Amino acid sequence: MNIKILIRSTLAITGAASLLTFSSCDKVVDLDPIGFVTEDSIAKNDADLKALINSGYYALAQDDYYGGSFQVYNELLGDLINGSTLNGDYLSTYNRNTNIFNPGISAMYGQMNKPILQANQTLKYLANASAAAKDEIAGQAHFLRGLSLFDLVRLYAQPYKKGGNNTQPGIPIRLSPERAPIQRSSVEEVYQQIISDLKKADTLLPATNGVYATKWSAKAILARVYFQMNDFSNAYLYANDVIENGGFGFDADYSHRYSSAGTPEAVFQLVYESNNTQGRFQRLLGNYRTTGSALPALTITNDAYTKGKAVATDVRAAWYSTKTGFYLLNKFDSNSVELPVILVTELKLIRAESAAEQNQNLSVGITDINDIMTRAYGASSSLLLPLNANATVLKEAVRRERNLELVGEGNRTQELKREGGNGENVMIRGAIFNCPGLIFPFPSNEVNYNSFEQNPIGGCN
Amino acid sequence: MKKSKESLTRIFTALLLFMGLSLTSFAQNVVTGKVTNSKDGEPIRGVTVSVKGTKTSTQTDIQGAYKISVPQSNSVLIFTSVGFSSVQVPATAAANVKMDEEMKQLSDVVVVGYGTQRKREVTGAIARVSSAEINAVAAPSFEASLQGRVAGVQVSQSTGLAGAGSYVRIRGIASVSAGGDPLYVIDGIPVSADPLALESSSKSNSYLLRSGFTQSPLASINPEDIESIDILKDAGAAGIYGSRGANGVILITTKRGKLGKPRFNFSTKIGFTQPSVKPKLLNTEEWLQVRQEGWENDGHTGPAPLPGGISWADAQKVNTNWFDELTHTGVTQDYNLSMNYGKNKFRSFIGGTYGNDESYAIGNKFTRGSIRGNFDYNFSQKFKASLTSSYNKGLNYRVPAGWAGGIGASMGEALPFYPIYKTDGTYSTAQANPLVPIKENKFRSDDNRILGGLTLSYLPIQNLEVKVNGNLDNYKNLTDRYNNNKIYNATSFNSAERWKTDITNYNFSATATYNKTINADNKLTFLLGGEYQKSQTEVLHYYRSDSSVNTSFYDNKSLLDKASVDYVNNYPNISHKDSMLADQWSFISYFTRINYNYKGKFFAQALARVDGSSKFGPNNKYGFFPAVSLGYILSDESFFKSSLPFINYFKLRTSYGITGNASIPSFRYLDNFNASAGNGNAPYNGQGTIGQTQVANPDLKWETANNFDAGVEFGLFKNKLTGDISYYNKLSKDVLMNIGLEEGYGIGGSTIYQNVGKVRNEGVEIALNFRAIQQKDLRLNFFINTAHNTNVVLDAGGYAPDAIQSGTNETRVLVGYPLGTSYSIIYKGVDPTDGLPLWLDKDGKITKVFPDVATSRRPAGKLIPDWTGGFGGNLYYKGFELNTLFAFSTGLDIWDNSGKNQFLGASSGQNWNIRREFLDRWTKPGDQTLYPRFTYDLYPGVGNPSLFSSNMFLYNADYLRLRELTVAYNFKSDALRKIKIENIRVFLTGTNLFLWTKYKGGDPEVNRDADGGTADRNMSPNVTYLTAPQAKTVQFGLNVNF
Repeated sequence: MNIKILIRSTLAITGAASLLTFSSCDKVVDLDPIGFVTEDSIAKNDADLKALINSGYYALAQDDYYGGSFQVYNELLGDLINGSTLNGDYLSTYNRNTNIFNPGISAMYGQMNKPILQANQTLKYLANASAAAKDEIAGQAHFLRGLSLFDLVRLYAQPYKKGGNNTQPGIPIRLSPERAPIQRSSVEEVYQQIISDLKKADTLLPATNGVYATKWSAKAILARVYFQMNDFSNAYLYANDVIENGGFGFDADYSHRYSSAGTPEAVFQLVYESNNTQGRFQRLLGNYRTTGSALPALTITNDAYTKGKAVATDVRAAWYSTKTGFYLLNKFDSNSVELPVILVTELKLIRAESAAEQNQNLSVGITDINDIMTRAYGASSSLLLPLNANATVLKEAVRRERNLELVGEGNRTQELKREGGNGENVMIRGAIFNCPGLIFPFPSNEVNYNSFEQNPIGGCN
Repeated sequence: MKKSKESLTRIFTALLLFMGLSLTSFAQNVVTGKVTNSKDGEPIRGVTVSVKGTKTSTQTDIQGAYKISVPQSNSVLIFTSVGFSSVQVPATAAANVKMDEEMKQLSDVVVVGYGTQRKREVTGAIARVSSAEINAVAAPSFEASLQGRVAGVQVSQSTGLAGAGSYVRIRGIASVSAGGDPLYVIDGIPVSADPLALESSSKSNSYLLRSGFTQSPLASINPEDIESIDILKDAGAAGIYGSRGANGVILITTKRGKLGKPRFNFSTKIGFTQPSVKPKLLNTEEWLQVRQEGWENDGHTGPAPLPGGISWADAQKVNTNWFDELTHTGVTQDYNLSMNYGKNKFRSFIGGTYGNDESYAIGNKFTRGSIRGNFDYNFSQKFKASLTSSYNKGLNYRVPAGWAGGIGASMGEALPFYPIYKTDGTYSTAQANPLVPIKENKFRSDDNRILGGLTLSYLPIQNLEVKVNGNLDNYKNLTDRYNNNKIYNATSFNSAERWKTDITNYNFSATATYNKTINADNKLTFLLGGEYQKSQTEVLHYYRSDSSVNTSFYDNKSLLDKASVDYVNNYPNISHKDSMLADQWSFISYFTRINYNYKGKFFAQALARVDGSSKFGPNNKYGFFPAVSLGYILSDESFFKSSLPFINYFKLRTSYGITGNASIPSFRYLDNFNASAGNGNAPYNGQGTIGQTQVANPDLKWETANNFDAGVEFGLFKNKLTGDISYYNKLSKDVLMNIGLEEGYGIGGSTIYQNVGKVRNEGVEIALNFRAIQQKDLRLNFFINTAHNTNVVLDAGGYAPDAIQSGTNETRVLVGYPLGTSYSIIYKGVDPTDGLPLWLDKDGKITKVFPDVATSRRPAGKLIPDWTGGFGGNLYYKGFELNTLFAFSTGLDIWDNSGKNQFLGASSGQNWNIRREFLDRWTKPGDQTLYPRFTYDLYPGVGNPSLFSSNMFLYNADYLRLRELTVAYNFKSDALRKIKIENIRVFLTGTNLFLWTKYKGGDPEVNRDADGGTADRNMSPNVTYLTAPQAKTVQFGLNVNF
C-alpha cells in the first residue's frame, strides 16, 4: 500500500467534499421536512375538503368529547354518581371545586373546539369545492360548528334563561381559522349562532348522507337546542318534523342503543369503526363497565339505583347491578357500540314535554310517552297515561321517564339546568343549579391569550 | 504507484545514509544520567533529552535514567517534559538533572475549540478538570463527577440509581423551552447528550415515558479514557461554537499516546453503595392511628374505613418496611487497563474497561464495557494523521422509580400494612406491592455508542496548518421492557415493549491556521474554518400484549413478529415503512478567530461564527455570533514587578460577545396538518382525515446571549496562592418560549415556539488554591471554588405565567423573578382553635377555604441556587494521601411535589404513607404546630389531593456534602522499579459519605426532569417526586503503572 497516494487521495476527496458542502450550503441546511403538510396543500378539491370535514367527525368521536368526557363530566356534576369512590380530577369535578388544573376538563375544551376549527377551515376553502359537492360540504361544516358550540356553551357558561336577555358571558365564537384574540360572546349571541349554523345545515344538507349528518340530524339538534332554551314551540316544531317526516323508526327494543348493532332510532350517531385498533368511546364505556375484577371508576348512588329498580316490570331495571356493596350501571358494558348522539326517544320526550308546557297537542305528547312506557313496562302497565291526562301529569311522566331512559348518558345535569332556566326552583345535590362550580373554568391558555373573564370556581357547597 | 514507491525507498535510503554519515563523521561521547523531581527526588519518566542544535533525542526510562550519544564534549543537553520547566546542562559524562515543576496553571495547554492555547494566553473564561479529578468519585456518568470542581458549574444528579442523568448548568440558566444543557464536544464532535432522549422521544408523546428518572446518554463513556475536560464559560471561549455556545461548552479530550516504550496502567475499584438518606415513614400502628385521627377530626365516629376493604385486625398483623425491602448494599466493581506507546512517528493509546455497578436499588445495575484506540502517525514533518476511535457499551438493568413505582411507591402508595406475600407464599397483589415489578418484570436498556474521528493535518508552507477532520457519533439504545400483568389478574395479558433509538451524528470540519510573526513583539494567529454537522434520529416503539407474551422481546425475539410498531417522530404523515427517520437537523457554519500577541503579555482575540441551521425557517436561517476578548499580564510589566514583588502573576481578562442556543425540536417554524387528526392513526368511517397539529412561526430564530466577562488571574507569594476571580453578566434575548396555544383554537395541547423572553444571569466566580506546605515529604493544599449567580426574568413577552410551558411542576416564568420560581398558594399556618389550615386569598386576606389557583398564587420561592461550589484539601505525607472535596449549594428551595400526597396520605382518596415530620400536626385546641390537623374528607375548597399544592411543601434545600474522602498510599521505590513497576497506588474512597441539610424529606440533591421534558429540566431543577435518594459509596482501589 502506498501511503502517500492514500493520503493524497484522502486529502483530495475530503477537500473536494468540503468545497462542495460549503458552496451549496443552502440546500444542505434546508432539510426536507419529510411528511409535513402545510396549509397551502390541504384543501384543493372535494376530496381534501371532505377529509377536513371527516376529521371533524373523528374529533367528535374522540375520548375527550363524545368518546366519554362529555357524558362523564356532565354526570359528575349531577346527582347520579356516587362520590365516595372517586379520586383525582373526577373527585374535584364532583366536589364542584375543580380549577384550571383539571387536565381532563382542559382537554375536553380543546377537543370540543376541534370540530369548529375543522368547520372553519372547510368554509375558508369552500370555493375549491365543486358545484355538486359545495352545499353538502358547507352543510356539514355548519352542523359540526353548531353542535360543538351548543355542547360548549352548556358546560362553560351559565344556563340560558327563558325570558331573560341572556347577556351573561357565554363562550367565544370563532367563525374563522385565523388566530386572533377573541372575547366571550353573550349566551344569547352563542345560541343565535348555534341556531343560525344548524338552520344553514338544515337547508344545505341532504335527507340521507350515509353515516354523516343529514338535514334531519340538524333539525333534531335544533329541537334539543330550542328545548334547552325553553322555547317550546320551536322545540315541538323541530322534534315533530323529524319524528313525522324523518323516516326513523321507534325501536321496540330498549337495549339496542349502546350495542354494536346500533338502533334505527339514531337520528345522528358516531361510528365505532370496527378496524379501529384503539377502540372508540372507551372513556364512556370503560368508566362504567361492570365486567372488570375491580370496581369501575364510576359507581352510582343508592338513590339512582332504587329509582331504576322501582318498577318490577321495568325492562330497563336490567341496566343496574351491584358489586361489593356498590351500585353500578351496566348499560355501557358492550366493548363496541355505535354511539347515538340523538335518538327518536329523546325527540319524543322533547315533543311530549313541549306539548305539556304549551298545553297544546297533548294527545301527541301522551302517545309519545306511552310509546316509551309501553316499551319499558309493557302494554298493560298501569303507569301508562290515559289519553285525557292533563299537562301536569304528562310533564311529570316525561321527566321521570327521561331520567330513566337517558340515565348515564350525560343528559341529566343539563335537564336540571334547563328546568332552572325555565324559572323552576332547582337544586342539584344541595346547590342551586347556577352556582359557579356547576360550570367549568376555561383552560388557562384560552383565558390568557384572549384576556377574557374566567368563570369563578367553587361556591356550590 | 511504482514510481512513488521507488521514491519512498530512495528517501529512506538517503535518511539511513545521512544517519550513518553522522554516526561515523563525528567523535561520539555517550552521556548517561538520571532525571529527578527537585521537589521530592523521585525519578521522572518520559523526559525528552535532546542535544542542542541536533535532531538527536531520547527519553528517560522508568528509573529516570537516560543514555544519549553527543557529538562533542561541549554539547548541551536540553531536558523537556510537560509540567516541568525545561533545563539545559552541558553534556558531561554523568549529567544528573533535577527539574522544577512549573506552576501548572500556566504551562498547561487548554483546549479552546478548533485548537489549543497556552493557559496564560487565553483571553476567555475556561476551566479545566483533570483526569484524576474526574475519576476521584463514584459517579453514574462522567459529567456527574464535575460536581463541586469548577466555579460556576452547577451539577446535580437526578437520583442515586445506576446510570442516572445529571443536571449541568454553566453560569446559571437562561433557557426556558430550549435545552439548557451545555454543548458536549468529545474530541471535536458535538455529541448526542440529551438526557431526555431516552425518556420520551423529546416530543409530546407522554406515553413514551419509561420511568421516573433520566438516564445519562453519556454513561457508557469510560471516564478513565478522559485526559481532561475544558469548560468554556464566556463568549471569548464558547463564542467559537456560535449558535450553540450560550449554555457553555464542555470539551472532552481523550487520552493519546506519548513517545516511549509501552507503558501500562491497570486500575480497579471495588465498592459498596447505599442510599445517602433513608426516608422516615410511618409504620402500621402509626398510620392507622393517623387515619383514625383524620376520620374523627372530620366528625366521623367508629373505626375509619381502610383502603381496599382491609379489616383493622388484618392490617394490624402486618408491618412492611417497603423501602428496606427494595434496597440493599450494592456492589460495584470496575477494571481498567490501558497502554501508551510511542515510537518514531507513531503514537498510540489503547484502553479497555469493564465495570459492573449495582446501585442500592435491588435489581438495578449498570454494566459498562468499552475499548478505545487513539493513534497518531506523523508521515512527515508536514503530514500528520490522528485517528480516534472508541466503542462503548452500557447495559442498564433499570428499575422503576419516582411516580413509576419501585422505590417511589415504597414512599407513597405502598402502605406498611400491605403484605408482600399471601399466606400461601405467592405475591400479594390485591394492594400496591412495589416488589412485584422489580422481581417479575424485565427492564433493560442497552447503550451502544461508537465515537470516532480522523484528523489530517498538513503544513503546506511554514506557519500554515491545514486540518480536515471528520467525526462520527453513533448512539444506539435498545430498551426492552416486559410487564408480568398476569400476576395481578389471571385473565390479563403480559406485555412486551421495546424502544429502539438510533442517533447518528456526524460532522466534518476544515480549518486553516496561520501564524504570522510581524516582529519579535507582535505576533498574529489566524484561524479560518468551516463545519457541517448533521444528526438523524430514528425511534421505533414495539408493543405486544397477548396470550403468547411471557418474556421481553430481548429474551424472545420471535415475539417481535406480531408486535405493533409505532413510529415515534416529528413526521406524522409517513409510516415507518417509508422512512425510519424520527428527527433530523443540520448545521453549516463558517468561523474565524484572530489572536494577537504583544510581547507575550498582551493578548487580543476576535472571533466570529456564522451558523445556518435546518431548525429555522427562511426568515432567520442564519445567525451571526461575534466575540472580542482581551488579556493583559500586568505582572510582566517592570513597574509591577518592582512595586508588588509578592505578586508573581497577575492577569486581567475581559470579553464581550454573542452566543446562541438552538436546542429546540426540528421544524417548529412550519405549520403542519396531520392526516390523522387527534390521537392515533385511525380514519373515521374508513375515510381519510386531515387536521392541524402545529401552527407556523416563520420568524423563529436563535435565542441569543450577550455575554460580558471580566476576570483576574493571579499567583501570590511565590505562587503559593493562586486564583481566578471572574464577574459575568449574561443577558439572554429572544429567549425561546414554548407557548401553549389557546385551547379554543381547536388543537388543544399544541404549542408554538416564539422568541419572546429576556433573562439576565449575573454573577461572580471565585477559584482559589493555596499550597500551604510544599516539602519533599509533606505537602498540604487547600482549594475552594464557588460562584454566586443572580437570575432574573426581565421580559416574558407579556405572556401570563401559565401560558409558557413550564412542565409538570409548580414553577412559572414570572417577570422580575428568577427562572424556576415556585408559584403557589401561600400557607399561613394553622388555626389553633380548630386545626384547619390558613391560606392567603387573592386579596391577601386569610381564608380557611383553599383559594382559587387562577387568582391566588404568588411567587413563593426559587428552585435555583445562589451559591454553588466545592472546597477541600489535599494532604501528602511520605506516600500517604488524604483528599477531600465538599460540595455545596445554598439559597434555593426544594419543591416537594409528592409531599402533598404524603401529607394527605390518610385521606380517603389518597392512601399513601406519610413522612414522620408531618406528625408535627394539630391534635387539640391550642396546639401550635407546623402542620394542620389530619383530614379524611379533605379541607374546605380542596377538590382532590393533587390540587393541594402550596408552599406548605416548599422547603429550604441548602446542603453541604462530603463529596469525596480519599485515603491513599503510593508505593514508589527502586525495588518496584526493578520489577518494572513505576508506582502503585492503593486507595479507599468514600463518595457522599456525609450530608448536612435542614431538609427533612430526604436528600435535597434531586432533579425531577423526566416528566415535563425540557421545560421541567430548565424550570424545575429542584423538584422531588418520591425521588430515589443519592448514593453513598465506599470503594477500595488499586492503580498500577508499569
